[in-house]
Amino acid sequence: MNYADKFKKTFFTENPVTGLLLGLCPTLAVTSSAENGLGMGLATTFVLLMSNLVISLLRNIIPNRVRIPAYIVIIATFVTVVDLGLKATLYDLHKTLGLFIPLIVVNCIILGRAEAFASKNTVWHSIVDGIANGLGFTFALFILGAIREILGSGAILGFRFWPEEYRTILLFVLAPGAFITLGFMLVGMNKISKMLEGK
Amino acid sequence: MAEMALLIVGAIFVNNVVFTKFLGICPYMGVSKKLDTAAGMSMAVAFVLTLAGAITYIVQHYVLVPVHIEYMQTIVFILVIASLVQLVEIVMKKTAPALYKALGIYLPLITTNCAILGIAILSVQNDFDFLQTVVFSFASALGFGLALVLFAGIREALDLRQVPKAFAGAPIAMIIAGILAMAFMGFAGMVK
Amino acid sequence: MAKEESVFKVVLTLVLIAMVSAILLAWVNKITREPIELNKRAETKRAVKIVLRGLKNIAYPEFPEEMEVDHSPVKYFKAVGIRGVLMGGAFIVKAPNGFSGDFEMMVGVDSSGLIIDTYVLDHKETPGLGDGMLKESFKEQFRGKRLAGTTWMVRKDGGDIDAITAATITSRAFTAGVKRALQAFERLKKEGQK
Repeated sequence: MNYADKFKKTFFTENPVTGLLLGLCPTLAVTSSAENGLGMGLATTFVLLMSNLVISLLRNIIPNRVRIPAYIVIIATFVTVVDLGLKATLYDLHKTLGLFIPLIVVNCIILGRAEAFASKNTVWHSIVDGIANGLGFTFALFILGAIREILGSGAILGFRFWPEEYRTILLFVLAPGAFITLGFMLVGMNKISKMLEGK
Repeated sequence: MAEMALLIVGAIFVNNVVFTKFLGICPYMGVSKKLDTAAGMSMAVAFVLTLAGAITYIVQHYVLVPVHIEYMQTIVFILVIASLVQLVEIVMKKTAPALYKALGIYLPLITTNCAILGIAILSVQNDFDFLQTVVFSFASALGFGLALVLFAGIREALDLRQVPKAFAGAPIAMIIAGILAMAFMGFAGMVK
Repeated sequence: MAKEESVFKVVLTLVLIAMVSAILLAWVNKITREPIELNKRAETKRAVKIVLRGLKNIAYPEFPEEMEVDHSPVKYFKAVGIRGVLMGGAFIVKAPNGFSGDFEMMVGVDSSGLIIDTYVLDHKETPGLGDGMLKESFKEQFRGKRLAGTTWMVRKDGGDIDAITAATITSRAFTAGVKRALQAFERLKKEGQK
């Protein structure tokens, strides 16, 4: 397995969000700022990594007929661990992400990787796959969050471009801005992917 | 009664699941290419969402809370929803083959529709009673259906237009969803 | 897929996975329960310090007491000075009917019933619009006001409060919340005089 290629794929051409259009709910919902996007991305990466690891370990034990319920239990367990863990350590972040932490369970990326990759590959490869896809997801959320925060609030990660009293393009932090920004981001990412492939 | 009406209008228009809560976006983008599939999906979601709301309410208040295992909420709810979808599929196949033929193919997709789990958790967080939970779930599903059918209508018309190549497919759909969301912002403040 | 698994094995694996998961979660829940409680309390304490700043030599209890104003529960920390004189209080109220439902806020009042400061604890108002209530420019007008002498409504409704631009609903809820807190304080004061 070529790691550089793998990461290039999950960041651009086969990025879970911009390439495969998976996990759109949290992508749109929590990206009103770069920090939130980053937090959500990393929480999802943790769940993805752990579920890939465990599912790949158990891939020869779990009976084929009940593999989906078994995967769901494993994924939901790690989601709850993240939920409680974040509440205990990063309380404020947990409050902003709110409902979308338990909803990591139904993020199609995780069940998708479990079914398509971890159930067929070795533990080590599944770990790399989990990290690569998780970081690809985080990358997309961070960029989307950054664009929306800069345009909508005139700041990024606590750094202000202009004073708080100034008017910004509010639309971008509101719901419609999430859809529209992602639409334009898809165009941009497709262009970048094409350029990378053309090489 | 007036309170119920507010709850319904609020869930359908003002706090639409898709446009303000960002729930159920995957099926929203996935099955909105044709009007009739969109309608089928909406009905399947309405059915499962309402049932799931009722059952998760019972599970929360008669199992999780008395036993003090509220932290198991996520895992129990998702299992309840997954088995419910399976059960509905089996029962529908046996008793209502016509309905199964129409909605059957959408059922497996519903387990991973985050609107179901999301609305169930929201009902608990809002301290709704049983009736409120059921009404809220059903109204949210109607809101989802409205958003989906509107969107599918636009996308069908869009197929006949020339879209710049870079925007064709998902990007333009996303931007249209944004414009629809903007239209729905007009409902803001209608309730309360 | 070729070999058919026995029902026994299928059930056993599922039960085992569920059991391991339940044990893991019970353990995580146990070790995180205390930090979570502490985090919640730390946030409230931080808010109390802010809304009661400037009051000297006061003591307030570890846990809030409760009363009801307009059928809505109000939690409060009574600030008492030497010899148990009422020096003010921090009131946690529900601001009713905000843009995205009720939200929770805290209002600090001094012994003469003047507002020291306000603090929003938990809200889902629209970022960029409704969360203007967190800004100094909006909060400033409440400081030093008391229940009497102010019409507790936004100007649009004939009151004295300047609403946040494009967020009248949030401003209304906020104003109603402040009024509740002030009413709660007046009640507390009356009870003290009895």
